[in-house]
Amino acid sequence: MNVKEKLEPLLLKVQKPARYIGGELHEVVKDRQEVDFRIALCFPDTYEIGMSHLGLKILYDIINRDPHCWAERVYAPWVDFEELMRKKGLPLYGLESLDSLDEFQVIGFSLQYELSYTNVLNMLDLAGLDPRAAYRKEDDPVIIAGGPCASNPEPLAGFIDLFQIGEGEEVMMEMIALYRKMKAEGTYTKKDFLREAARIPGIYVPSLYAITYHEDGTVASVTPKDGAPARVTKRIIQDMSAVRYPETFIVPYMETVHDRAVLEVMRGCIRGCRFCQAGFIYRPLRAKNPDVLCRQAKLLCDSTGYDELSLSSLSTSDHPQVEEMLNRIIDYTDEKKIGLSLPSLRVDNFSESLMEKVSRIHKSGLTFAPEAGNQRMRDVINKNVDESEIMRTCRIAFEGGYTNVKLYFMSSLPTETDEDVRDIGRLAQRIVDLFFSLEKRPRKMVNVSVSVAVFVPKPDTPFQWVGQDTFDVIRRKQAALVDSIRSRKISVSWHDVHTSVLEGVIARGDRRLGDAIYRAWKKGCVFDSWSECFHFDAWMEAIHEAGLTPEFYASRTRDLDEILPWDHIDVGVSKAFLKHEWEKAQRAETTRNCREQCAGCGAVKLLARKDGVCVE
Amino acid sequence: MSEKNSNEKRKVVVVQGRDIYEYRAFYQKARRAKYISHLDLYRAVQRTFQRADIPVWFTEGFNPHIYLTFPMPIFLGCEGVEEAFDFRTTADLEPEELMEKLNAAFPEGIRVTRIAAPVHKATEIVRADYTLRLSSEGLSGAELLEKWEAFVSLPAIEAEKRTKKGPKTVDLKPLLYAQSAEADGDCLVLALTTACGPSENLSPVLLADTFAARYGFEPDYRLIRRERMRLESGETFN
Repeated sequence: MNVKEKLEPLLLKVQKPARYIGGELHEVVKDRQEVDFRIALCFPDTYEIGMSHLGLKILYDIINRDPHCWAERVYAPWVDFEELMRKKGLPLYGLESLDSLDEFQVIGFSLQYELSYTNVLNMLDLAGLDPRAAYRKEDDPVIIAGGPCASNPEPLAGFIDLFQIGEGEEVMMEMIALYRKMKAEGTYTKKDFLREAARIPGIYVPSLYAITYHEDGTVASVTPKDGAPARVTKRIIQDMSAVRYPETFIVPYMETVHDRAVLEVMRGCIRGCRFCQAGFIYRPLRAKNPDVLCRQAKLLCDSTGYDELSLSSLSTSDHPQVEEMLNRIIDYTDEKKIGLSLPSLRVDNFSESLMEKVSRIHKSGLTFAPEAGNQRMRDVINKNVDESEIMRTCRIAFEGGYTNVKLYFMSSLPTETDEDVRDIGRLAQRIVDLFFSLEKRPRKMVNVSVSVAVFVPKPDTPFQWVGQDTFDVIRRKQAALVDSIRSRKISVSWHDVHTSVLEGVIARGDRRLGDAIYRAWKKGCVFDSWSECFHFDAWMEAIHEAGLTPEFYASRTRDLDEILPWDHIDVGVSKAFLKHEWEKAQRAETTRNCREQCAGCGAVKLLARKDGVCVE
Repeated sequence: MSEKNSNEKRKVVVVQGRDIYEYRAFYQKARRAKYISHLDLYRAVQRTFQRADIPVWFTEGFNPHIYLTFPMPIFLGCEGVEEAFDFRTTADLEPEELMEKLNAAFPEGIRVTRIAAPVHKATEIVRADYTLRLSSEGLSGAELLEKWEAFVSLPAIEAEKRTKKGPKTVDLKPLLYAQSAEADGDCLVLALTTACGPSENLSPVLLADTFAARYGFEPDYRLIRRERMRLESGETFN
């Protein structure tokens, strides 16, 4: 069904109608008669957030390159539009064709954060589908998902037919090829397709795994059936310089969160910060070479007309040829008056020449992430940054004319005491003092803003066994920090405690938690990451009604021998390595970065070249 | 800034001793593009200049940006057939060439129809002609027409208008300069001329919303289109 007629009169009744109509520059529109495979790439949040997400842009480009396939974009309607859609019987639709989702063979979701899960259920419901896989019909589209949260797929196992684990460029096209082949041969049934798909490396079909539990709620066994592999190993792209990258982006009309050209410079990270899930699940490090990067930067900027280019990775200053890359890209961006932004800079290799390159473009504020307030805590989390480096960086920034410094920290880290939290405030004070000690300081007043997130233990990290701080402890630590700040030059902001605890529950959830997610959605929970939509009490009710407790998932410290709900998903790093790192963390011992010395995490096994090293 | 050697194709202005060429582009905004706000349109046109590889003139302030002005911005939801924006280039270019480059780079729904030297000042605009098509569930076009005719014969049309000083009640009737209406199936089709300018302005949607609120129905707008902008003399803005 095409929704255009029904849709248009509704658009003038909602906020930001440009979210819902498509038609932007470079969207891909195909002839329905010439394609036999249509996939909806859904981002379970608003248009502005979904349109900023690089992973779906990459898949959109790769799938649409195949003349038989048509990939479209779908985002979660904001609550005002959802209400109208339900009232007027308007189903969820693809932005390119304005066709409802029942015209699609596959509906895929990008899972970037746990608090978007209720939106996944809600979008399936708006598409006229039962969110629960077991209740969907044979003719309904196949529902798939991928993204970092798929490294623990279990909480969504009851809703998603198939997960793609790891990087999607290749496995997506292999899955599509299988689907089209079975349809063409007439051998397609959903069940047979899923069984066959489970043989493709990197594909996890949760219905093919039976889970049993001990009486205490921990996992007793995971048993694959119908030939599904005992462990599903994530996929990676072997050569980042050779893999296709979008030559252009869809250019939205309305302002999106990252409204700029984004160039991915590498995948993986050499650092091994122990709290950081991305730092482990994207291993090993693979960088693009400067020639490829320059070509891709020009193609993107010339075809989109963006006046800002962002060099994206987990730690851009760790690119093996960072200076050469920057020099060459800046030659181009200067000429075209394009601003260059470098998110994810580290304090320990932020050189004066790098600073000079960045500041030639714009001089607003600098953001760094010391993550913890003292050396012991930074050693526990393996941040491998010391205070002299933080101070040196701030001095370079202040002397370079910056007066706003934003510092990211985490509290409620493993082994952390109230004194450790107070050290965050003391560090901020020393940065303010540094400013006033400089003769070359700018005339504007200094502002150090301290942003503190509540630590959430994540799967596939050395902290995956750790119990998260309880509410009371988190609140007490927040009070301790506020108490430690004396200067009005320092401003402090916190992540919400309730969302952090819920994130802690879902992140390490098991398959049983799906019932709680379903009940929370039934109670009206959607857009949980938006404070105006977040209903913590409804969530707690849902969890209890499902016969579960939040404490079991969030604040319980796991036994090292426990079968973890995500153990059958292999992201490359070994459990033995994670255990070893956890033990070192408890002794506040650091591990050197991959470039200095291989720590033997195990991710090297994912590389096709077998010379035993991941990092050049 | 001084003027010299201007012709009907472009105006020449001198900025810091340098000749800069000023043009006025007339464009259409239709289909999906009508749902974008003025700010979004402004950004879209800026990016179009970047893509079109036109030697466009950047302002020379602290934060250089493409010089671009819209005489009377069109509101969200409204199609336009004779809308305008002004821009400048650092080279003396043929309007046809500029138009070709811009149209090749514009997104769906935005098309430049002609480019010439600006004739009038934006401040000379005082009124605009609009076409509206609206329907409402459960009402026929004829019923809507009957209500409309009663509505426009009211001695005053009071409505709450948002102003910088907060909401205030105003009489819309003096700002409605001309109107005609007809029924077409389940739709009411209105041709309206209302105040449009920097000092006085009446959005046709405010008028139609006030109409709907007075008779207690929910309007579904099928079309909102600005046909042209006019000067005090009645002449079309050029």
